Amino acid sequence: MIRCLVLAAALATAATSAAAAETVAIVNARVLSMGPVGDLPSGAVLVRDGKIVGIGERLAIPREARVIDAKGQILTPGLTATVSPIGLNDTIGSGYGGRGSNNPRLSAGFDVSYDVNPTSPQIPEARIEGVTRAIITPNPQSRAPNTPARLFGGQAAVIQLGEGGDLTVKPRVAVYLDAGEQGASAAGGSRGALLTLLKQAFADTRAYARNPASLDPARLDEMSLSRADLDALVPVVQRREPLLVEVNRASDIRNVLALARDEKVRVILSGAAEAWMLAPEIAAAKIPVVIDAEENQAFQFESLNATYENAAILHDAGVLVAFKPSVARIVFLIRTPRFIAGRAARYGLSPYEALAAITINPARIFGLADTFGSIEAGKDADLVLWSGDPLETTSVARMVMIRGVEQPLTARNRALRDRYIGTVK
Amino acid sequence: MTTWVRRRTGLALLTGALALAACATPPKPAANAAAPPAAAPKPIRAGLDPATRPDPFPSTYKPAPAGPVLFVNATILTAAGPRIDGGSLLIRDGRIAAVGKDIAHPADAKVIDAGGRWLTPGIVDPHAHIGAGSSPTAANGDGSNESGPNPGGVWIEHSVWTQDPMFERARQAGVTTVQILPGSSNLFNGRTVTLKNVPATAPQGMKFPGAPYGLKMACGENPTGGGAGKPGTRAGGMMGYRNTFIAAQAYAQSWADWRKRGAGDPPRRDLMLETVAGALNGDIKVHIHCYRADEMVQMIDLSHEFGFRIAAFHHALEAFKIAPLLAREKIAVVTWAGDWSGYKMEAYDSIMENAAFVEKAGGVATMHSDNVMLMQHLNQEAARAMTAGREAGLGTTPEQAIAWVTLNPAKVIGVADRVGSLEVGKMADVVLWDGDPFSVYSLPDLVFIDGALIYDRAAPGRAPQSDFELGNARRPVSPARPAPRGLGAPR
Repeated sequence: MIRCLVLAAALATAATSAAAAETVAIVNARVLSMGPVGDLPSGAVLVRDGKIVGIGERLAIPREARVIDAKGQILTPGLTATVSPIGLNDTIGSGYGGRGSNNPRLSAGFDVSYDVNPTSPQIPEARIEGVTRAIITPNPQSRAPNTPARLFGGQAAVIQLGEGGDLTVKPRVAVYLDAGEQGASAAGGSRGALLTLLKQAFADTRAYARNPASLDPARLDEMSLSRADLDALVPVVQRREPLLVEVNRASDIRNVLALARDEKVRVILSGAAEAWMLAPEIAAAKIPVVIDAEENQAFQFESLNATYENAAILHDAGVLVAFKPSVARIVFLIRTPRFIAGRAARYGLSPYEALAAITINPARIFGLADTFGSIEAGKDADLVLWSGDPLETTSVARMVMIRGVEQPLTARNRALRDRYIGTVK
Repeated sequence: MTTWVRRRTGLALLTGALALAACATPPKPAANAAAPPAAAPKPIRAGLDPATRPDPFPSTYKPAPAGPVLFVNATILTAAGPRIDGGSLLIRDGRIAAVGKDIAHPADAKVIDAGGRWLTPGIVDPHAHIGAGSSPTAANGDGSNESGPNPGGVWIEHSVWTQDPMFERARQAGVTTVQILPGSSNLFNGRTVTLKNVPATAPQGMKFPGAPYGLKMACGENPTGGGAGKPGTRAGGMMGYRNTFIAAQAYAQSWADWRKRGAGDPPRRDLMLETVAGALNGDIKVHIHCYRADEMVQMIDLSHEFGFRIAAFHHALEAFKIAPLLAREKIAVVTWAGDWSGYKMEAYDSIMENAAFVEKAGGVATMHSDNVMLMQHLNQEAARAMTAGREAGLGTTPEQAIAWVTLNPAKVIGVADRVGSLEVGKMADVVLWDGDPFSVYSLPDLVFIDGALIYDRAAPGRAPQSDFELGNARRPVSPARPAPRGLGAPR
C-alpha cells in the first residue's frame, strides 16, 4: 500500500515536471508584454522549463517546441488578484471572505499562508479568468466575541494558482493593518488610540530586536502582543517587509504617511478611497496604493470622497497602483480583477496602465517583479491568451499557462454547466 | 443590501396561533351597497378598514415637463425586437411616439444626432436596497433593510431615504426604474416598492404610479438561522410559510364575511396578513429570495397548495438546474452573472450561464443588483452573462441580454406595459450610451425619464446632487471624456 502511494506520488511529480520541462512557442500573438519590449503587434514567446526564455517579433523556434498559434489574439502576462481571499475558504461566508486570527494574543504573527487550500474551487474558477497569482491577506477584523481587539491583522502571502502542488510562492510578504474606522475603533475608540499603540508597538519591537532577552512579558500582556507578533514586526521596523495598511479617510492616510516617516517603516496603502486628495504627498513618499477601484460612494463616512477618478489621479501623480476587490462587495470580482481594471480605464486610467495594475504593478509592490508580472526572459511563464481585449466583458481567456504549464480550462462551475446544459440545449 | 449576511436573530415568524380573525384584501366599496343593514352601521375609525383608503401613501410623482425630442442615426436595442441600425426614435409628451428606420421629422422636435451611438430602454433594477440600506449606512439610522424580528407587515417605502447618493449614481448608470425590497432575514419580509429614479424629497415623489406592490419572501440560510425564535431548519421554515398562508386565508375570509354581513365590528387589521392575503388573491406579486433548486421546487409546490403565483425567484443561482420547470411555471429568474460562487454555502453551485439557461428554456431571465456597486454596472453584468451563454453555445444575443436589464425586470415588477422597451406608447425612459452598452468602456451620455432629460454626462454640474453630498463631499467631477480605445487597438 505504501509502495503504491510512493509510486503514485512519483508519477504525479513526473507528470508535473514533464509539463514544466516542456518547450512551448506561442507564435503570431498580439503581445502586451508589460515589460521592456513593450507591445508586439505580431510576436512570439518561447517557454522552456517553466520560464520565459525568449520574446520577440522574430524568434527562432526550436524543433522540439510545441507551437501554439495565437492567430493574432492578445497575449498578456497572467493576472494578479491583489489583497484577495482567493483559496482561503471553500465558501467565503459572510462579509470579508478571509481567514484571520481571532486569538487576541496573535496578531502580526498570524500567517495566512497556512490557510491556503489548493483544492478550493475558487482556484480553478479564478484561473479560467486568467488569474495566475494572488496576494492573499488575512481578515484584519476577525475577532471572537468578547475578546480584546488586536492591532495587526497578520501576514500576507503570494500564491500561484497552478494546478496541483503547493501554491505558496512566498509567505510573509507584508504585515496587514487596519488603520481605518474599524481598526481605530478596535484599538480603543479612535485614531488617537491606534496611532499611539502602533508607535509603542514599534518601540517595543526595536527593543526586542536589539536584545530579545530584554523582553518583559508584562509589556507583551499590556500590548496584547505575543512573541510571534514581535518576531513578525522585526522585519517591518528593519524595512525588510512592508506594512499593508487598510485606510480610507484622507486624514487617516496623512497619519499613516507620518507614521511611515517617523517610524521609518515601508508602507503600502490599501483601499485608500480618499488617497486622490493626497496624491502628491503619496507619490513623494514613494508609497504604492492598492485601490478599491469599485468604491465611488461613501460606504462609510471615512469614504465620503470616494471617486472612480482615484486610480487616474494617483497614477498621473506618479503613484504605483494596483486593484483590490471592493470592501463593499468582497465576494464580487475576486476572480475577475480584469473588470475592475476595465472600469478604471473608463475613468481616465489608460487601458494599458489598467492592465499594468493587475499584472506588473502588484509584482513590483510586493517585491516579486523579478519572477512574474510581465512577459520577460527569465521570468516564470505565466501567460494568458485572450479572445479579445482582456479588460472587456465580452472577452474570455482561451489559454492559461502558469509557470510554463498550460492549465486545463476546467473548473467546478463549468462542470456544473456541462452537467445540466442538456436540459436546455 | 448584503442579503447573504444573516443580520439578526428574531422571533419566530408566525406560528399559526396569531390572534387573527380577520381579513385582508382591500375590498371593493361597491360590495357594501348590496343588502343594507337594518340599523345604521357603527362608524369605523380611520385606518381600521383598509378599503376606505386602499392607497394610504400615494404617489405624488409627476413627470417633468419636456418638449419633443427626435433621435436620429442611432443604433437602437428596443428590448422588444431586432437591433435597428441607423434608427430614429421620437419622444413626445413623455412617451415614445415613434421608433424605426424612417420617421417623419416633426418641426417642433429637438433633434439629437446620435452619430451611431446606442439607444436602449432605461435600465430596470428589480432588486435593490438603496435608500433603505443607504450609503453611508450611518446616514439613515441603522442603514439596514432588515426590520426584525417579525417584519411581514413592513412596507419598505417607509425606510427609503431619498437623499441616498446612490439614487444619483444609479441614474448616471442608466437606471431609471428600481424596485426596493426589504429583507431577507425572515420568511416574510414585507412589501416592496417601485420607484422612478428621480430626485425627490420623500419617496412619494418617486413612487411609480400604479406599480403593483410585491411581497418579499425568503428561503434558505438567511431566514432559517439558528437563533432563538428562528425556524432553525428549512423544514421549520416551510411550516412557517404554510401556517402563515393558512392564517392569511382565514384572515381574508373573516373580512369577506364581515363585508357580507355588513354589521358588527370589523376584524382587527393585521398588516402582515393583509399583505400575504394580497399575495394570495394576486394583487401583490410574490418575490422569493431563494438560491437552491430543491428549495425553489418546494416553494413551487407551496404556491400550488395555497393557490398563489410566484412572480420571480431572486438570486436563484441554481435556476439552471430547473430551467424548463421555471419556464413552465412562468416564474422569472432574477439573478447575477454568477461569477462569484461560493460566497455562502447555498451559493456553492453557481454558474455564469444561469440567465442564458433560463432564456434558452423559454423563461424570463433578469439581472439585478442587490448591491450599490453592482447597480452602477448592470449593463456589464448582463454582458458577462451574455458572453458566458454565447461561449456555452446557447446562442445568447445582445437583443436577449438587453431585455435582461430592461423589459424582463419590468415584467417581474409588473410595469412592463409602461416601461422596459422602446415601443410606441410606453413611458420614454431612454438611455443614450456612448458606445456598445455591453462594453466595459461604455457609459450613458444622456438619460431620460418620462421624456425629461435627467442626466447629461457633458453637463455634470447640472446633475441633481443629493442634499447629503451638497457642501459635504469634495469629489471631483468626472470630465465627459470619450471612451478609451481598448487593448489591442493600435496605440
